[in-house]
Amino acid sequence: MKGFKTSIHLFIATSSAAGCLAGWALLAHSPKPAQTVEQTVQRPAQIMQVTAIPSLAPLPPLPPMPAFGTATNNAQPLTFEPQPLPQPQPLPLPTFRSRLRTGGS
Amino acid sequence: MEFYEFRAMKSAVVLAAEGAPEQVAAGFQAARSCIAVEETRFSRFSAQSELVRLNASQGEWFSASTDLFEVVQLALDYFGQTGGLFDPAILPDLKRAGYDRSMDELRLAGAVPAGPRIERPGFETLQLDRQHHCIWMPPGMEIDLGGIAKGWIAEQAARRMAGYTPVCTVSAGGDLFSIGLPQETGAWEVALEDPRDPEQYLAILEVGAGAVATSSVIKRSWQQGGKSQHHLIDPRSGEPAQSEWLSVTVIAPQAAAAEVFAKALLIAGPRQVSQILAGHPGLAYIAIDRRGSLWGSPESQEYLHANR
Repeated sequence: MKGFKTSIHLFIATSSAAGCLAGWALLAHSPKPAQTVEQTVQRPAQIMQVTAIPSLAPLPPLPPMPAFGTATNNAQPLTFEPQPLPQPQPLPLPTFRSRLRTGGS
Repeated sequence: MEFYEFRAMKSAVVLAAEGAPEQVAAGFQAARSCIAVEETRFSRFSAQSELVRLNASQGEWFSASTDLFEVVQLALDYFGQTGGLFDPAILPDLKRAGYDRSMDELRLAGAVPAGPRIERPGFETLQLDRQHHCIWMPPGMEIDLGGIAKGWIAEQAARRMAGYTPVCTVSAGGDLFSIGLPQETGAWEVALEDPRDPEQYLAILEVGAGAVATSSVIKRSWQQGGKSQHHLIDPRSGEPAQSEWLSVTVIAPQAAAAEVFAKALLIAGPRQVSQILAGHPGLAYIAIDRRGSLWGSPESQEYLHANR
């Protein structure tokens, strides 16, 4: 068991050191950022000439936004959308025990 | 439950209350007095009414009573909240559609033919001096507070009655405001009229404390030059609204809100419901179409009960 642990520790140490060396070598041979900037600056001047941009037609005006409710309107879910409710059978009002009714005036 | 019925505001008024008989009687009296006073204030057909004097004060600051100022202020708020669909300044259009006298006279004598539409100032141009309770309306503005005032009056009358009995309701032409809950049923039971035949009902609403109001294109309707007209003017066209629904009932915490949103939803129709009610999660509505079918938000089913 002790031998197994030792070999695991050895494997981890060796692979860490190898990974570190490989990364260092890779970065050392990659192009440096300063080299890229220099290349851009050294381009011939005629490439930098700006071509004329065609003038754009003005955009049509946006349609007016409806001014309903408060500023949080758009955040509201569509829970108010009309949905069919249970369909009723009309009954004569005198059969209803309450005298309260609503129907506009 | 004791009931007391009389006519006011050109409508049937029903008061209901629970409690000791003498307290209930005193509550009924207080509510009736309140309604009488406020009806005089808000009528547009009485020369003595404060609203008529306000409409005659165009271009000048008008010193208003606390009650008139409160309702005009509410109206201005709801005008904004409904994107202008609730608009008290449609009165010139309402008159042009023939509703220039009381409904009784209109049905008896008929409507005068419609003249050309006149440009009118928008309701948003009305100004309020909150410190001195003064109102300024530009020349050409006339306002009708009929619906919102009726709901507001029902609520005020119910609050007066509640000083005598804690369980009471006021129904003014179907605009109800209730306080407390009846002991027997645990809810206020309100019949939802069939707009195609108001002597029939389609369902029972079981509601708690708060308001119920219905707007309908059927009840206040008349003929003008062979054309059927009604009192719900679409502010966008200046004409009676071409609604897909016959009536809309709204359940809300406040009577004025129920009245205003019932009217706005009826004018706007099904496609704009979400826009109008966004930001008002406390409201539920039930609409009835021309076939007598019921429509509403999922929440409205909580209030709806089958006929019994």
